[in-house]
Amino acid sequence: MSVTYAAVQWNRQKKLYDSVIAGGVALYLGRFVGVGAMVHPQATAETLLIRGLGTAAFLLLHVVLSIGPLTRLDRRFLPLLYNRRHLGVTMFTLALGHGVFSLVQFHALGDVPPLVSLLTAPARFEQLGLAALTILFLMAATSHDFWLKLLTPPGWKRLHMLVYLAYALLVAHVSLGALQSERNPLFVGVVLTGACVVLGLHVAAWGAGRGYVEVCEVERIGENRAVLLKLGDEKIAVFRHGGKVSAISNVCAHQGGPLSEGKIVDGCVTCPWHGYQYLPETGASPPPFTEKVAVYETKVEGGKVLVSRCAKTSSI
Amino acid sequence: MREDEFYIGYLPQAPAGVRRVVRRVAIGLLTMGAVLSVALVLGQMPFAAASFEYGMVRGFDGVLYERPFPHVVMEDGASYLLAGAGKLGTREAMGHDGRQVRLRGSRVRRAGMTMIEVETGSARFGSGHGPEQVTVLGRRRLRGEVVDGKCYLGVMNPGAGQVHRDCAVRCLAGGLPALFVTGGEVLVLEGFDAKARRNEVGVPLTLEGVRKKVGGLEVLELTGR
Repeated sequence: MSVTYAAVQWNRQKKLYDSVIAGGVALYLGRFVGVGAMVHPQATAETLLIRGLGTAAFLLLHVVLSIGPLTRLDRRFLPLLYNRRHLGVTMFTLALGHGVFSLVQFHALGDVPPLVSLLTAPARFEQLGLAALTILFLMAATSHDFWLKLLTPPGWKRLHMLVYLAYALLVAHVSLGALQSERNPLFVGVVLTGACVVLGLHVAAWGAGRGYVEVCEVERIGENRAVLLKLGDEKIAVFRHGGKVSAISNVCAHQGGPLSEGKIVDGCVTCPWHGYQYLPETGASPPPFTEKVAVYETKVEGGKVLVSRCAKTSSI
Repeated sequence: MREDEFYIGYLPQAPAGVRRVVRRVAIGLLTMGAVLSVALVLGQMPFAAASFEYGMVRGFDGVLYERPFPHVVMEDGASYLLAGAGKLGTREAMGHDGRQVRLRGSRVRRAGMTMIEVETGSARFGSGHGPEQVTVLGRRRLRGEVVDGKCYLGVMNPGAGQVHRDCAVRCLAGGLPALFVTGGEVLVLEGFDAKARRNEVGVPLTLEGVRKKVGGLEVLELTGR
């Protein structure tokens, strides 16, 4: 939290986080170039650096993309989210190094300027890499809260969702480039495994998001009373009664009274406005009445009340 | 990690359970990075036994010929192709075909072939010699890959294949000697229009032409596609 802008509001946790990033990147590059120089003495330092920087950036992008869904699946991963933007900027810096070295190595000192050479090159995979790098640059350059405020949160979010386009471009860049030259199945395996992990985590998180939403601890709901849950435009009354938890629409079918402010009387949710009643399990008024409100699935896990995002039965 | 533990990034200390989890994740990621860095570097295709004596300048004496690409025939009969700096062909040879030359440069070598990256302005020319001996060996239809001689012979490694393709296009457009790498031999490629046929550089290709020997150079002269 802050009232002023600063380049980075350093604190102990951020320093720890960044130390691990810097150490990890240094170790990765050191091992890649060091071991590479030993086992491939014919390889030039530039080639090893280009490959080391490129693989480090590509692998790190998988970590960046996995943190979001991981935190939605398990809140123990939330500390990884805290300084994710530094991880993203580090990844961009590595990718930039890979790009600049490649531009100099493959396109400089020729009969046309390097960028002209790159943009008119026939192999195409380098242009895909440049497109991805441009997106990553925009994201890295706007990663500060200043830009979040300037672009507004929805605009900033839309811009940063382009990371998925960048990832797709980079998978194509690697597939049409390095994978065409390297025969070892390890490389295809790493790219495929990475894509499966990123895709799998996002699908799992999406599925979890569609499932249940945590309401509160069960003890916080008084016996035969309710708490109100807002899910977007939906309002849901979550009742506790006789050791069970039920959830129905908060809107009474009579005149729209707030059922969460009502009480369970004689086994029925009773509206505080006019006493209309509904069975908590089915949302239906007891016979002979015919009113009905939507019902939601509920469950209690670890003392927490969970309610399904989608209604089990509608009010019709 | 206990249920009541809650991580707040700007507080100096994370809860003990959170610290434990994050430490495990960090160690796991660092270990994965360590394994992958070694596996990926070991899994690369082997690099060719090629060399570029960058910064090591020597003197060379021989007879200079301009075709199919500028080269110097040394006293022992070996022919060394010539290259300019960067991705450009040398201009030192222009207008001096068949003359004795003394020049300075750095060697680029691979599998018995040698190229000299000529130091600009270092060439000194002497008297003229007769034309170079050419032996025609007949028509050939060969499958291989068009590369630029400078990178393939050792300035870059790898100097062929998809990752090097755009560089080869640039080098050939700059006037560096074209080579045709077939399964069995590496031929100097004469008559390949590198700018018009740039899409055929660095990919598997079948070429038909006259196989000949020009001094010490093994040459394929294109006569049809």
